[in-house]
Order: sequence, then C-alpha cells, then structure tokens
Amino acid sequence: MNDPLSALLSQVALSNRTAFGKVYDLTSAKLFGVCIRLLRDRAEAEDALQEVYVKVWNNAAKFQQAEAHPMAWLIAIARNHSIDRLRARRAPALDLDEAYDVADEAPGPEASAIAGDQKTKIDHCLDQLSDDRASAVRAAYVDGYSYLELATRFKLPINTLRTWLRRSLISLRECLEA
Amino acid sequence: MTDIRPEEDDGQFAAEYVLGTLPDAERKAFAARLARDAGLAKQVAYWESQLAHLNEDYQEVNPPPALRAAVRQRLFGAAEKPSGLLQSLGFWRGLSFAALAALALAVAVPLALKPAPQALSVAELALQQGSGVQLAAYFDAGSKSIRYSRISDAAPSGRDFELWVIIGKDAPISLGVVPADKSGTIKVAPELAAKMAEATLAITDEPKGGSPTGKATGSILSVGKLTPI
Repeated sequence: MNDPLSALLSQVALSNRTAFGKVYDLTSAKLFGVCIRLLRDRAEAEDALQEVYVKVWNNAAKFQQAEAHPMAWLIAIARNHSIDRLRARRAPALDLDEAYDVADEAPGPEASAIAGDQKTKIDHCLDQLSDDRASAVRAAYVDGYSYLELATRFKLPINTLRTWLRRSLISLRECLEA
Repeated sequence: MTDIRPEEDDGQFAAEYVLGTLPDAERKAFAARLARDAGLAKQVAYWESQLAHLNEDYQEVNPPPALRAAVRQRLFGAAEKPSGLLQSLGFWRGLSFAALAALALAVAVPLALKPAPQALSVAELALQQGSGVQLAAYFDAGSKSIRYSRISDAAPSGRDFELWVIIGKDAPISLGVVPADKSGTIKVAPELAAKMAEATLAITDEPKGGSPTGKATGSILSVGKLTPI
C-alpha cells in the first residue's frame, strides 16, 4: 500500500482527480478514525474530514519534499487539523468522564501493542518512561488531551504537568537518539 | 509558563506541537513560525516520524458515503460530476426503473463499503408523479441527521420541497423545507431520531417556506421507507 499511495499522491500533485479519488478511497476510513477519536464528535469529524482532504489536494506537492511515509503524512494532516479545532474550542465543553468513555471504545495502547506484536524503538523508549509518563504521552498524541485535561487526569497542577511532560519528551528523545 | 531559553525552546515546542498539547495561542504562533522556518520544520518532521507508530491506535471508521462527493464538490465545484453518487444512482435506477415510472429517488450509498459502526438507514423514495425532484438521502443515527444530495433542479420559484417523516400510523411530522443547497444536512430531533430507523419519508410540494398549516398541503412528490443497512 505504501508505494501505490506515494505514486497516487504524486499524481494528485499534478491535479489528477482520479488519483485523488483513489487516495480518498484508500485512506478516508483511517483519517476519519483519527478525526473522530480526536474531536469526539461525529458531526464535527465529518466537517474536519472534508477540510483535511481539501488540504491534501492543495498540499500534495509538498508530500515529495516531506520525505515522509505517505500514510504518516496524511495522518499528520488529519491530526494537525483536528487538534487545531480542539485547541480553538473555547473551553473544554465536554465532560471528562464522557471523553474517557469515548476513548475507551478503541483498543488501548496495550491492546494495540499486542496486535502490532512488533517492538519499535518508540515503544521501547516509552517503556523506559514511568507508566504514568508513557500513558500521558500516548493520551496526548492519540486522544489529543490538552494540558488541562492531562492535569485533571493525573491530578497535578497544570504548570507542573507541563514541565513533567516536557521532561518526559526530553527523556524520550535521549532514548530515541541513543 | 516555564522559562526556557529560545534555542532550547524550539525543540520543546516542536515536540509539544506534534504531541498536540500546546494551548491555542502558542499553537497558532508556532504554526505561523513553522511555515517559514525550515529548521523548525525539520524538528517537527523528526517528532512526526518518531511518534508515527502511535498512529496504529487509530481505528478505521468509514465516513458517510456522501462525504466523498461533498469533498469533490467543494474542490471541483459544479463542473464536477459526482461520480460516486451517479454510480449508485445507476445502481438504484437499474433496480427500480422496471417497476417505477419516471424518476426514482435514489440513495447515495455505495454498497461495496462496509457500513459504519453508527446505524445508518437509507430510503429509496419512489415518485408518485412525474415531477422532477430527485434527491439522494440517508439517515445517520449517530449524528441524528438526514444527509441529502439533490440531483435534479431545486423547487420552482415560489415553491419549496418539504420533507416529512411518517412513523406507524401517526400523522406526518415535518422535518422542514429541503434547503435549496445542492447538498446538506437536516437535523432530526432526538426523540424523533430514536424512531427513525424504519420510518417512512415523504416529500411534498409546498408554498415558499413550507406548509402554512403544519400539515402537508401540496401533492406528494415521493415516498419511501427507511431501511437499516
């Protein structure tokens, strides 16, 4: 799937509408999954997904320069757009318990680690962090939790939480580059 | 928040940006710098590739079929033929033309797609008369809304198409006028949404703004039963 998708994106960069349709068919379920998980609202995720593909069409030429895995590149667009929307929300309108319930529908990190069955460097390095820190990194990345939500979840003052998470990222980078 | 020197900050901000935790103002400021700072872009690319493995946690969810046409419409405008939609219209036409007279109201659901986890119902509405309203519609229980794409012309000037839902033997309940837009969403009240899975939909021809009485006054243009998929 890797190579055909790269080739299709190159075609999209040349304004090939058929290729764009194929990219949509191959990737929209994954990107919709990203939008729903982050936004926790189906109707908003539908709006977001449309805008994501508008960005894919407009930015396809940048894909080649990015030297990224095509799926990772597409997911980054979906994540960035969804997180932009999340952060722009005035206040965390949602009930935190409710949010966790929604998030719990998908298999957690443990389940997907088992499903993946391959230890990558990032998994290894997350394992080097304490359980709390690793799960905070995952919750931020996968579920889009803000510092406020993380602070609530880990029962820490927000500034402490932020410093704590930044240190986790430094440790993570040291491990990744070791 | 914390005082960190700018040069140290960049790496930190890049990580926090990719992680998604930056508060709105900081996120926007960072994104603006990112657009014109190659060094920053490199830091972001580093974290994106390192953390990409976590993308496996995202489960696939099929988007509503009409979204595909909506994206193309948005990008390519009216000149674009909504091919996915037409294909499925063709499918429905093939199914119904033999039995039905002129235009069939069709449903934009490529059947090859797996149904989304949220309950969807579709209706094939058969025209009662040879009038020209042609609408692709489905009901999404998840968002409690009916999504539609109008294929044929809008209601003639001074008239409106009004959408009704009929549950059992109850009187038709108005869902309002079908907007003049080519495609859109019609919200369904929660108490009604709960009963929608197998309701009947109908479209009537009404004066501008919809029926003045709350009951259908014009001729019934099409009727069809919602069926869960």
